Amino acid sequence: MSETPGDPELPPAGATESDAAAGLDLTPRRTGSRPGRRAPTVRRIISLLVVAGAVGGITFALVRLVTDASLFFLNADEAVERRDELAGQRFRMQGTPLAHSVAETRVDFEQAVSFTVAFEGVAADVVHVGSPPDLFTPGVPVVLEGRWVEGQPPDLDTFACGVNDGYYFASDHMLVKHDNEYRDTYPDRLEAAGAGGASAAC
Amino acid sequence: MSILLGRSPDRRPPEAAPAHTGSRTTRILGALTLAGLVGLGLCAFIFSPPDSRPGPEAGTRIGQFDAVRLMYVHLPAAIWTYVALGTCAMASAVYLWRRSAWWDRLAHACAEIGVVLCAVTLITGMIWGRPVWGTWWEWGDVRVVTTLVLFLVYAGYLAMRSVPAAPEARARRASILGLGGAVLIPIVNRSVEWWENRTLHQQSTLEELRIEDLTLFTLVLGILVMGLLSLWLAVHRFRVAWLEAEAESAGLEAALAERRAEAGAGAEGSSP
Repeated sequence: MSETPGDPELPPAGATESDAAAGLDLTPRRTGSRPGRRAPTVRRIISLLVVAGAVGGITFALVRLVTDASLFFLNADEAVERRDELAGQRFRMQGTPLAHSVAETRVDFEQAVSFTVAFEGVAADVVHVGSPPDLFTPGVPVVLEGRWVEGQPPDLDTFACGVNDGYYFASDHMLVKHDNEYRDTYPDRLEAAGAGGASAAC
Repeated sequence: MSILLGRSPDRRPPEAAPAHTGSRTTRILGALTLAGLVGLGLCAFIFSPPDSRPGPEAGTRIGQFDAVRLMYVHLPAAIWTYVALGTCAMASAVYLWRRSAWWDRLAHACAEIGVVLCAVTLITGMIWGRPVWGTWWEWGDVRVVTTLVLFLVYAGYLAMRSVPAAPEARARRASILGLGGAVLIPIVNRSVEWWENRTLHQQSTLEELRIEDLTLFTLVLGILVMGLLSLWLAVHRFRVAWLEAEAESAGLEAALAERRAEAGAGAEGSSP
């Protein structure tokens, strides 16, 4: 193999001092390189481009993380507590949709869904404009992006099973946050339903 | 060490490089891995039930449904990413201390396996995220983005290793990056706990163990099988690196012998 990685100014690793002293030409030869193996210069350029791409990618990812994470991420109880301070401000709110609170509605001729979320026992009414994710359903936590609005949403008289305190969270971006629960959390629910014990009451 | 080279490097004469990357131990390991993969496939796709539980409203079901099957690959891949990259960092540290090529090659092999597993973690996470979260990617999620950064750091490590340079200088630079990059591992792993209720990614499944029966069994099986696969790949990758170095060294010796012969012939030809 005539291709020797390393500084061409230095003798190759296997060369002895006597080789250099004897005036042996130790310059790597380019002929007879291993077939299919790129020349060192090409390899160097490609590798350095990949390194630069990785550094650029890391910088971009961290900037996006900091930018996106700078948006307040509040649980429903915190969002309700800080409602005055958050007036008109866009933030993320996390909560679990309550049973029997979900209803379809329309906002400015757009499809919307109204429901009530709760966190640590504090509830907040929500109107989300757009199609919710496929797994959106009561009992599964969601992360909503939007802002507080004072008053009642158009085309909606009251939130079913909601707080109805004169405020609602107007959301336009919803993600379902699945927790790490893989066991039955409502083991009595099927039995209750079978016995006719479950009702549509809140 | 012996599993990596088939025998202890201390008892191995330098000229006796293995002729191939297989050995009796790796063949047994490979057979176990293959059997495990078949078993995992059966458990994950046929025997284990979809994640579906009664919801808070009568007659409704909640859960990840069939998307949960991705967890049997996603979570084991993530765990073995930490192990592989952690081993890379440990081997890098030992290299910087002992300056032994053996540790450098181990770090290289583990970094490659770690990067592949990290890519598997990211891809399966994205495929899972689309139906469950409702998005392929979430830039605001610390776990997701730090995992991407971990992947990029070690992809950069591999790219840096392929920059032509003197072997010792290349190994030293790679070891520093391999060791430094490991700072990210606890950040990625603990992010969902440190930013609890501030991230989209769920908390640790195994720590709280809110999982049972065949779902738990399949997940544990997935972790074992992914471990066997990672070990099998790492051993072979290490041996390939060892053979590459042997071939490079032999090629260099041959080139030097050729030059010496040419110089000797030239000197004889010029003498009266």
